[in-house]
Amino acid sequence: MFFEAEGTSVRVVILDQALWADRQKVMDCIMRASASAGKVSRTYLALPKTAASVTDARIFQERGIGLFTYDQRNIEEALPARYFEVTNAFPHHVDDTTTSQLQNELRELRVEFAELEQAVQHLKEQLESSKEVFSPSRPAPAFTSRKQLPEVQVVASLPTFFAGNPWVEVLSRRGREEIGIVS
Amino acid sequence: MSGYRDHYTFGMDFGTSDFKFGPITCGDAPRVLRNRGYFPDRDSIMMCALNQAPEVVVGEQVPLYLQSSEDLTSRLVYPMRNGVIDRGDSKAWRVVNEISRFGLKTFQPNPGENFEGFYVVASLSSVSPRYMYENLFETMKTAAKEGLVKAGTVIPQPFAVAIGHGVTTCVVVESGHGNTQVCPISSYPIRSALVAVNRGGGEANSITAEILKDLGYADLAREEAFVRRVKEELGLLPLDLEKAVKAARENPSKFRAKFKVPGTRVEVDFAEKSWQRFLIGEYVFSPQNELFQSYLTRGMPRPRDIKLGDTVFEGMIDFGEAIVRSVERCPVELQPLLYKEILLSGGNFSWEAPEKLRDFATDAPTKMKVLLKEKGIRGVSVKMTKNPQYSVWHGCIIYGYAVPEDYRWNWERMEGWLPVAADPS
Repeated sequence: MFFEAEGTSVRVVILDQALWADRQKVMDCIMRASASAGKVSRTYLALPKTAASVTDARIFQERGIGLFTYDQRNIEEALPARYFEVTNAFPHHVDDTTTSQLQNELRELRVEFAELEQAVQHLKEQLESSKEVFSPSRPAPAFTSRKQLPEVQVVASLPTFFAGNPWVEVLSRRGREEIGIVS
Repeated sequence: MSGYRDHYTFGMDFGTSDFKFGPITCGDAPRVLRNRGYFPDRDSIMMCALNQAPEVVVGEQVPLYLQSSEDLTSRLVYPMRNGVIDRGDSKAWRVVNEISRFGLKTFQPNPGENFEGFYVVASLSSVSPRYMYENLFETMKTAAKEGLVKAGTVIPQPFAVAIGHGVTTCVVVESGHGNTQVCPISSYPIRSALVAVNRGGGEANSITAEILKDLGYADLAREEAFVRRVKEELGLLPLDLEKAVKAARENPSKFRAKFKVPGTRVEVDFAEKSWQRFLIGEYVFSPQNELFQSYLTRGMPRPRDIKLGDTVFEGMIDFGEAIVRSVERCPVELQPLLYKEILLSGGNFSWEAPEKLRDFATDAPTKMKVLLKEKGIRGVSVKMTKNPQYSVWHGCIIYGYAVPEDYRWNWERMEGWLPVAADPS
């Protein structure tokens, strides 16, 4: 995700909750975040909370990469991103005029890859140990395996007191939680 | 959520003075009417000649039917004055029926629109007994026969306040004219922890009237509207009553309480007795100070423990004690979270401190923190609701919009939709 306003740009690289145990995907996300650091004003990596708990944030802090952690309820800024002065923000879409920029960045990435190899090795070791913790031999409890609730769609034309009100979601689950527990 | 309830969710807040009502399409503010009805004397010559007086009049037309002032006490009925209607009070229930129907008819769509009735969420005092819910459901069923209601439900006012304010774990303290209710909420109202206090804005009126009598304004003290005006203009809520009284006695000019009714020659001046303005606010929050004894012994009604419906209302405990008792009925793990979000709602908490008296006078949230600190509770967060006039109605609308249609009414949990065309039992 890319955001830009008033001369400031923010890039957020999101690690999907379903893929956090996939080493390849984790490395890919970290590499993309690392490539973005310094090219935009702020770069963030968004991790599921389960992955964040086994992550050493110092690695990202040293490189100015911020961390968001998220679950189904909320998202938190676990580590602020360092601000970089940039004159040309990394565009959120690629066109012909930026292809050469991408090629330059790829060359730079190869150089940085060598520096990040040690950090990735450290993360690999941490992921290996966390897989043993989060893959219990007995089945997960029914609470986590309940049927996914329909997403609450809030219509744009609703009164302003609906905005950001957590009760909309809480109340939409009335009756569904009881069914989930029973099943 | 279906598109139908985007337009046809309807909220009703039966307040002690005002009835706030309207569908979700009203936006941020509902329509407001005085929560009252007038029963014209249909035997009078005028009404016979006109041959058009209904049994009960509600809404903006009430003033047009008012007759002599002697009739007002029996014919002008405020059904929710104390939050609870007696089971046998047929006039009060008639007013509730009529004002509900009036509200729904006001927003009834034109024929031809795909309208099958509103999803109605009404809100009652948290101390309302079961028969009030039953009677309100009967009102909705009657309205359903005219195609005005598709399904209905009733939620307690403190629960609606929490929903409207957007806080899922909190203590709501709702204080109106007649009483004050302390209700913890944690995704659901914790009904077993409800504490009710038999004191509200009416007690501030009582002590103001006694003060006016002592100062020589006995005639004016008989007019309730004037007494309420003096309370609002001159009454103060002290940070510390003893300190405030001492300072005001030593420097009466700084604390001078003087008020002139605009457009009249009527003027009230407390002069050297201006320290008494601090008694007005203190009596509502904490009536046990010995300064109040002289008024009580001279006949001012003492707030007593009473039973209304199924709930016992305590008369003399201070508001801090009421909150502590309520919270301590909840699970221990929940208690710190409840103290972190205390919401004050209701006109009885509209106390302000003049700038020059900020060292001695305060507002309701600060006073509540002081009372809780005296009980050993620190680190609390006490706030006024964001929109005290409409927060109950906001909560009704959000509830009606979000709760799934198939979540059926259940008399044990006291929540859910009642499809009013069906038998509730």
